[in-house]
Amino acid sequence: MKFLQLFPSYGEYVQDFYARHPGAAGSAYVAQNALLREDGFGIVHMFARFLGPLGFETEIVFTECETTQRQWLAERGGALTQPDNWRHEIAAMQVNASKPDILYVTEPVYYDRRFLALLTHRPRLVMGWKAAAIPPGTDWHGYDLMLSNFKLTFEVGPGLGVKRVEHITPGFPDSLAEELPNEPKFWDVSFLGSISSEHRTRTDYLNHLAKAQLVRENDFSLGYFLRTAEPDIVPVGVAMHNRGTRWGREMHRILKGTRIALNIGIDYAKGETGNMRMIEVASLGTFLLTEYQDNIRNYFEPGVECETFASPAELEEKIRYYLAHEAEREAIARRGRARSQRDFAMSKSVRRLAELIRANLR
Amino acid sequence: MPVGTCLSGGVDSSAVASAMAHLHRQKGADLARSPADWQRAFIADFPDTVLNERDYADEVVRHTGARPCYWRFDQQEAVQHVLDSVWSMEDVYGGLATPVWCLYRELRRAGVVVSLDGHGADELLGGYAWYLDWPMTQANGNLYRDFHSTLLPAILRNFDRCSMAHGIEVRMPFMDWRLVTFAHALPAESKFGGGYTKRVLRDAMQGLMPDRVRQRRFKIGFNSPMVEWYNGGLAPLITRLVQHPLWLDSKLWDGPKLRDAVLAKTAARAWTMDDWAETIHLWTKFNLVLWQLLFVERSTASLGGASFTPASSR
Repeated sequence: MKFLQLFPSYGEYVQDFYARHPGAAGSAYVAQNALLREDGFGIVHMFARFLGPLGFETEIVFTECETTQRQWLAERGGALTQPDNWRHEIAAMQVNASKPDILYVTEPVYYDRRFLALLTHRPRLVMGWKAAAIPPGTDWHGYDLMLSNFKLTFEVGPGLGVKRVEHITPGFPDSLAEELPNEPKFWDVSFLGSISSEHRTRTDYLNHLAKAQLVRENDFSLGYFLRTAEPDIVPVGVAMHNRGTRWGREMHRILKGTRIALNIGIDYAKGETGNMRMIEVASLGTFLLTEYQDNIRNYFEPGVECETFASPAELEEKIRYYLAHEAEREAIARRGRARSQRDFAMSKSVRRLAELIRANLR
Repeated sequence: MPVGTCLSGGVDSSAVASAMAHLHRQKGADLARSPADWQRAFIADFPDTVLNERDYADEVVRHTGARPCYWRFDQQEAVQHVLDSVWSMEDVYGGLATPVWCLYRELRRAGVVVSLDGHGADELLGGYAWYLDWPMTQANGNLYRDFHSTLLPAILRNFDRCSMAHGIEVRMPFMDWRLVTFAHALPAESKFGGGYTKRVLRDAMQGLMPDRVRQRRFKIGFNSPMVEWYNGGLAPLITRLVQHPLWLDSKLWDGPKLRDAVLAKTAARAWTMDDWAETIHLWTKFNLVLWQLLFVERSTASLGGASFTPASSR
């Protein structure tokens, strides 16, 4: 049974990838695709890499990745009929050529019904993943199954045309933490993520920490690794600590090399957490300090497997406390890792995925 | 003529002191305009208060080989000069400049009448905590405004008044026009970056000043230890001020209500660091009363107590 995953890439990630692999752009499609697979960007969502042992033939198509996709097109002598719509058109050609039984779309907002309409091959199961805000106008007719761990998707998904919504949590590959080098911790506190007009709370928290260093003794090192597409809203305190975005393996190396890794959600989450950063941090054996949300216990037990904060003052207080109490911090990190290995391992996620596929396959 | 420097232990004054020492260590440096007696560091010491930076200042003293002269803050002694500092300011100042006034007095007493100080670096290169709230894209424009039009002119005026009260000429290396035009031409990332404020200064001073001071993020302004003072030596003056008719009859605030609150907190010695902003706001109001007494009524007799008389009128 063939499983094809359409996997989106940020434009900045693609630029960074080709800068790190200078020979890749001119190489064969297969070689570029293999490098992208191994690079580890978005690995917690990359089910296709881990489904093989469960009896699936798998393939990943990296979308929003113009160099790779045009290489694929050139090798097949293909031509575009709608050059302005190359993203949809090449991806559709790739799906049609692959003829999968299962099509898994990791970004089903841009690749919604308008994209599915371009497919001449109809997979036996079309499924997607969404655990974030869904913009108006999204049309999920043609989707058989939507996967999520975010309440909103269950609430609005059926109204957008998808037949079923099922719960799943992306997983952390069991071996990844061991594959990373064991380095001494090089940051006291770090945060990796985005800053935008949808992250006002996150911005305020991060800026509070920057200011705290100026107004109180007992300094700590603070590393922010941020995507900032809207420079006008980034305050000085956040900008001055921003070391730039990190992707894939390098992102995980930083998280592992941090004493306290922060998790602060997006504004519209409103009481709900479940982002992958939490699972990545805990899986790497790093102490997780996360914004308190009502459903945090679905993931980690506060005070036992992670710590939480509900105000800038509490965030600062807990950072200072846990930097000063290493044994407590490391004990929580160890328990967080054990929980993550038990409940959020990739092996568990793909078993759940395989069950859902078999239950929903036409 | 001897030259001194007011050394707080913060980045800016320490950079000035360290640069002076660096120049004198350079072989072949042109020191024609440098006096023989240049190694005097005047340090305000605030023991047992949050303003205590003595440890950092002493590290700079060891690094530079300067001769330190300490003015030690003593609540009872300093309160004798509260009215002196208000008198020197000549207007209603939003703070309590007594330690500044006292430190420049130490220079005069030591026969040093020129001081190279670190003023201007915070506004030129971005040193204050509240600057971190600005959008990064507006930082350079805001610094230009603070440097030329708003904050720095007020600070320079205040320090000029406290220093000239003792005939001390203050000069500010960070306000050399070549440095100013260069700094204003730099991108904001040169001022706020790498995890630091005043980044370019810290980078430039690498190897020239103690790293522990160069990499300090915690910033303490040259203020009065308001909280400790409100709970101690300043209490008698505060108690008199809030019961004075000018306070109680003010049209600008609710005198009786504020009196009750201030008296209760002061009597209980209950001022805490959480009240820092409130102590400053209150002192601005106290200054208004003191200014009225000193400059309009020209008598502080109604406050009672000889110790509240400015030295200039004693």
